[in-house]
Amino acid sequence: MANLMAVPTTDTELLIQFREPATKEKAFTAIIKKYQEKMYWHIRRMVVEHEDANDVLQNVFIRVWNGLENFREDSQLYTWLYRIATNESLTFLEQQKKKSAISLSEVETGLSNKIKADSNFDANKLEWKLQLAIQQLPEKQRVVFNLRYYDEMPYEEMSRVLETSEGALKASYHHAVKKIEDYMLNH
Amino acid sequence: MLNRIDILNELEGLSPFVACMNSENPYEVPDGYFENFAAGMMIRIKADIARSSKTEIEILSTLLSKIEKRFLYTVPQGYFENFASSVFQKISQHQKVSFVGGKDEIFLESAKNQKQNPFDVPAGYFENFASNLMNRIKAEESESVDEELKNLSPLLSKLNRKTPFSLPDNYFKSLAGNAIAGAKAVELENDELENLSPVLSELKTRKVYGTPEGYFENFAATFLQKIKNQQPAKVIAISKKTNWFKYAAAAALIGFIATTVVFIFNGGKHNSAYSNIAKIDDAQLADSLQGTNEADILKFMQSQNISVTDVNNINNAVASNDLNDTDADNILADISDNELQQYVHDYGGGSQVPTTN
Repeated sequence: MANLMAVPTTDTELLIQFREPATKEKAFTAIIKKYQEKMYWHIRRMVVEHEDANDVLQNVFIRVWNGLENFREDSQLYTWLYRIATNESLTFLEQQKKKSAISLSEVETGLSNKIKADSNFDANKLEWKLQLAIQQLPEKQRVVFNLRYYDEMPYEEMSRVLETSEGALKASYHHAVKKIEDYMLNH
Repeated sequence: MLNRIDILNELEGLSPFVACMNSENPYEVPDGYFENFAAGMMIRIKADIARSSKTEIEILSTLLSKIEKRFLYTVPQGYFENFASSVFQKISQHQKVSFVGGKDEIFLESAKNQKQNPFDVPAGYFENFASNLMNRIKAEESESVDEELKNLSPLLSKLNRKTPFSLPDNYFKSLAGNAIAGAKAVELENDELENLSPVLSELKTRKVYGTPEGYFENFAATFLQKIKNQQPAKVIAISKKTNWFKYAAAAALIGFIATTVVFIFNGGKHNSAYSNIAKIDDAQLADSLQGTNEADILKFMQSQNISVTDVNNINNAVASNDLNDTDADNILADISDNELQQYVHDYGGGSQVPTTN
């Protein structure tokens, strides 16, 4: 049966509906549908494989389900979602490192291998070389670059997501761009 | 130079060991770092003040700005459509709740019955609601009746508006003539009555009964006044005394009859036949009746005005000279104890008569 009632679209309306027992599930479904793709790609660029991205994404929304009731709305909803997604991705990578008892740089090498293992990978194409270059970046710098380059997030918003000053974020991004360019020119 | 010597002397005074260490910078600097630093700083400053991320990346790296931002990774088909339900499944695994529903709507299983709408909606109501509403709006804004009908119902607008009912030929042409003819017929009837019986014709309109002046005009007010002034109906309560009186009279009558019966059974002297017989001694009766035949007895009875019935009664009375309790009960079976008591109270010695009940 089609959803006959108009679904609220603004985050404020969704939060109000989420806090009503009668409409909680409907509001949560709407939040998932609104943000699932954005969150997915943000996570996938970090963890590369779809199965890993799916696990992390589900964990993100479970945390949202449990924590949205107490969300203080000091920041935007999607800012909060990005923060959770970033933390869950970094936590996942940390767990991967612990599981295989290898260094983070080796984890990055593993990620590069996963990129190369993708069925559509083409080493001659700049887009794929860019992905390999991104994986060479440190984790936090990788996040900054992805948020700015792919999601075009303002520094002010990024500052709230990553709880880092805007200046530091700008510096991090500029450095990231330089490194990527050097990698692509030399590989 | 002088300043440097003073600082070294100061350091030697503080710590001769530290003063002897090599003060050369141990860190290495990338080649051309300082040479390119100024240009790099200008680029960063320009990127900082860039209005968009696109401009920024163009300033920072021409190479990166030319790379198409495509999603290189593939996603399984239907992944995003079904993702929400997979999240709910995972939530239900972690928590003691279960959800039902599909990809369009998911809700708690415990609230399933509450979610079910008890009201029925006509089939296709919501699907057609928007289009019906638009048609109504267009109809209200339409400038002509035809346009309005077209918006409300294209089907009706296509129908022939001719009324399908048939009329007799020349109906309207002859209508006026028929109406006049009808009026004349009525007039003729009235005239006929006048011609046949002028008396009857006159009587038809004559008022026979007279009414007081202003009767109909004042009727309503007068009637209402009467209602207001009406005395409340007298209520006569049915009292027990009346009932008792009736019952007492009936009891007295029955008691009288009973007394008479008792009297008869006891050989009462009111009956002339009984009294005559009572005067006769039993021995004398036996002697006189000895050798008497039946014909003679009958002859005697007739001379004394004694009927056969009387004889039977006498027989019964003689046969049972004393009225026993059973006989008395049979005789007084129809009379209630209360009635007998009342009778004794009214007409007897006043003492209570013991009853069997």
